[in-house]
Amino acid sequence: MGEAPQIFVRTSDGKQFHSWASPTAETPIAKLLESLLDEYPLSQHGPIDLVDESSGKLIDPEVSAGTVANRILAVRTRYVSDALGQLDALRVQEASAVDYFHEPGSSTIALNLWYPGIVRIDSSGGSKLVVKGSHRAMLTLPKDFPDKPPHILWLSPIFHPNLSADNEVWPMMYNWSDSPSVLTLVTALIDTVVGLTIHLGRRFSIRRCQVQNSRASNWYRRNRKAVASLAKRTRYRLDGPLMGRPLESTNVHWNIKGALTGGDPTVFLSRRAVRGILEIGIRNSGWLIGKQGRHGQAPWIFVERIVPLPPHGNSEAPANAVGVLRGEQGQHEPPPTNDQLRPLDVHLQDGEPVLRFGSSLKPLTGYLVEVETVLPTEPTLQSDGVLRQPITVRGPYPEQARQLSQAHEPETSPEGARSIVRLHTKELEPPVCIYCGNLCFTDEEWGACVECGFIMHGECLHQLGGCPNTDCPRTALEPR
Amino acid sequence: MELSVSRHPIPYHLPIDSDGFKNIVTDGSIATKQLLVFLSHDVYDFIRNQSREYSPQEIGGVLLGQYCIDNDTRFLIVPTAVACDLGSATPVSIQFPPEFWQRVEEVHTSEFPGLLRIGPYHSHPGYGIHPSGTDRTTILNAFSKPHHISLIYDPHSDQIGFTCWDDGVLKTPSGCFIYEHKQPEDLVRQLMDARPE
Repeated sequence: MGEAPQIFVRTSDGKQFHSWASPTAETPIAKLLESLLDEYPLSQHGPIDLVDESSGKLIDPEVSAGTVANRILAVRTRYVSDALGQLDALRVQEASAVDYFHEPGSSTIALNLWYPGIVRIDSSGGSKLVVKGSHRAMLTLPKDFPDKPPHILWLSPIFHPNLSADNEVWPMMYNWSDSPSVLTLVTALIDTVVGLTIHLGRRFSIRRCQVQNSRASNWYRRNRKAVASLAKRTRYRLDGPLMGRPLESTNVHWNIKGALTGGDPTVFLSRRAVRGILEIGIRNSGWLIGKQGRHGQAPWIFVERIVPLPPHGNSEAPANAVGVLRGEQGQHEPPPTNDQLRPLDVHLQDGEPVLRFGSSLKPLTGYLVEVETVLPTEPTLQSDGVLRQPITVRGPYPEQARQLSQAHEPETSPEGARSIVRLHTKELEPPVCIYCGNLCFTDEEWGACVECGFIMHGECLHQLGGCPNTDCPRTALEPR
Repeated sequence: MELSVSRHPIPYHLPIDSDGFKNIVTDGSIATKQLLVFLSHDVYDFIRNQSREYSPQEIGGVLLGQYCIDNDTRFLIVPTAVACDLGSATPVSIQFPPEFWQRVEEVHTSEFPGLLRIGPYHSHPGYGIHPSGTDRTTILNAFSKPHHISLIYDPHSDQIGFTCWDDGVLKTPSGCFIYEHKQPEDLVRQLMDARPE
């Protein structure tokens, strides 16, 4: 065991040093970070990082104190750990449609986005445009972050006017100085991928400013409405089924926060929504996505999740929005929605949500919050009738069906009226879902489009609401 | 004792939707898709105070209230209770003697006609709000109708919860709504008049 090192840490304002006597040389730097929490409380500074002052490199919290002995470290606030915290908050709200991977000690973040975006597939039979639901990008935080914005490298194939693979990209209509947060940046990037905010350039301009792919620009010009329609359906969808007021139609338990007044509108906040209000509301505005209705004469509102609203982004209220979250920092105001359609207005005051209903200036005295989740017994798809099932899944893909019949004599007639046919042979590789890019295993529901034969998971079909093939008569891009 | 009669719920506005109710809070988490219980703040305070005062002895009594329905939501409003100060109680049991039931009968018929005997309440000093084996037997034998509940309060953990039978299954304890009313006497009168029999 080596000698216990003394480590000096410069404060974030650069004016003072903290000294930390590590218990042993093997003690991880994470312990030092823990001891700095008193000086840099999470509620005030967010997660902090330590960097090597001479090299500027981020220190991996898992390295031992001995490895950084005799070096001066500096506290960095609003850096990588804070950015990861914001991505965590976004991931919770987006039901894991956002995910990331970060190697400790590095300032790059690999980003996975599971949203519909157009991709061109070239094959010997020609090229097709399909809706793909899996995209990858890499965020690199510069040393002077957040004064300077992250670099975004787009990694996966994409057919988009403003994005292209292996190139540095930037979300449309997004100005880092207006909202220097990774949360809003990635939200804006998602809006760009799905086509809610795109820049098509001028049709007859010689210089196509910001347009990276002019063919894509032309295609989007023709299909912009269909793309936007699909984007809204998937981006703002409700995840769980709700057949009525949550008190009567869900399997979760509820508690009252504050005190209800009989006759006031009853507001239900899911646990995810509460977390989103607290985590997103401190820095950002957002849409409250949920459902509303009446129980007899009494109105009720259920907020399932929060979708952050990037500054200058798409300001049209989504169909599933039941209100707005007004960011505490007041960087930008969402459009007024205190109307009968989206009546709930939420903001944070001293770290607590304050809810107003309609045009009333008086806050609601209380609301119900979800306290326990019990696994639902009902299917979780097709929540509100918006995501209908426009195509029937009757797999397998014709070519595979032929291979399958050659590999195995079917015991029953193919006319067996099964809606889903699964592969039961070890000789064949499982097919790949055209939408999510994952394998279709035998224990999953999957099949092929009856029109074009594209293979996809049943769940992907439900999410998308149609066939990913843009040339298919049952395409998800069909305007509804 | 007439405890085995099934009652139909009377149509009434759910308290959280009804103007006269105020300061509605919850104690314990509210389970959904089952009977909801709205306990008067007075009854709630009385049970808690009495339990703490007599702890470690158990205390108990009978809840009087109304069985209601609002758009398929079944619920109970419990504005009053009759405490059992007769019989014997130990730290792990309480007995309701025949004299107590006689007294409940008198109070019920003379002061609160129209209300229903919703079920018993008793305390569990230090052993939680889950019904014991004896409690289960009592609930099954005497309080197993759709409008019946058994309310338990633990003064040590300051927890309250009720259980009820639903389709032959004893539900796990759920929390209660606790309410105040702007005109509690009017509410009791309304609830009594709602069931003229």
